[in-house]
Amino acid sequence: MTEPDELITTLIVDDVPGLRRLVRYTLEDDGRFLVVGEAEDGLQAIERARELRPRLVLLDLSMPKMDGLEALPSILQVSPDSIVLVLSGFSEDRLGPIAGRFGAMGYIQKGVAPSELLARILSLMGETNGDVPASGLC
Amino acid sequence: METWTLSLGANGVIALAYFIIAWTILSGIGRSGQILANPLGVATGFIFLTCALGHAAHAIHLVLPIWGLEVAEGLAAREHFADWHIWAIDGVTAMIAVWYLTLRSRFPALVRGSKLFEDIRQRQTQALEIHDNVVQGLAEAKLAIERGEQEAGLEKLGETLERSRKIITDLMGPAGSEIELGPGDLRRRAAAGGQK
Repeated sequence: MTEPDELITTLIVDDVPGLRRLVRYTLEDDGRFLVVGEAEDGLQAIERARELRPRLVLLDLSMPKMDGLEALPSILQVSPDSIVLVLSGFSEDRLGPIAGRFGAMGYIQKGVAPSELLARILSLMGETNGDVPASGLC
Repeated sequence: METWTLSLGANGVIALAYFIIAWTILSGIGRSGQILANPLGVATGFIFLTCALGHAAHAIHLVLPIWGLEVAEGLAAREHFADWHIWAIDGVTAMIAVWYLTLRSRFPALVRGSKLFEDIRQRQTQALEIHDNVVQGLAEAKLAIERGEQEAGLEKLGETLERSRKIITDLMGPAGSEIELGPGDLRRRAAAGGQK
């Protein structure tokens, strides 16, 4: 089993409560992640990132008050060591490069199966030297 | 032939071409109600109009002495416009003016200007609504079902279906509007579900 201090602390940012819940359960079931906070818009995301300094931020783009592209640079400013991966319903071809220009380390389209979501997150974190734990469950 | 007449001809051609161009741009902007929304188009139209007036004034000044009007000024102008530099430049300007006029098919893009921008903005707003109400809902439903939460997934699918219907209905326009649907309006290019 992954030791507590090896868990990937994660902040989930999405304006849809149902999606936040499902993503949280998916991550926690894997055993390598610890969801330390949630946010429903860009403003909350910046505050949570400032307080929690998560290793991973899963960031939606289309949100009220402040969207993901607006929040991205500020999230990285208050939590420079965080890896921000965009998790969005928009096409990766269309928004992926734009998100990258604002500091996102990767882009995952919503609608992927839970196993693929985990695989993509771990793969992208591995590419950014995010020190991914070897395995989750004992 | 006196060389000032070359400048006279060139200025006449420039003035006429510029008046036509200015009219095409400004009348198009006026017809589409964009006088306030397309300042670039309006400014471009007025540049051509004022330049047309200037070149027309040159041409008129050169011919006024024929009728005994402003003789001294007109003759001085003829001497000035007899300079080969002047009529050569005016000649090139006239050719460019005629060439620009032949590109009239591209004027609509200049007129469309901000209207095109507004259309894009409207489509982006619609895209966001479809994303927020349909894509998000389907993504949530799919994830729920894949996690074994059948009931929650099916409920979300039902909600998303209703929201999709409402969006489509709104996009179709209100009942009784000028664009009421009729026979042939619902014809598709290909069977539904075939596009990837």
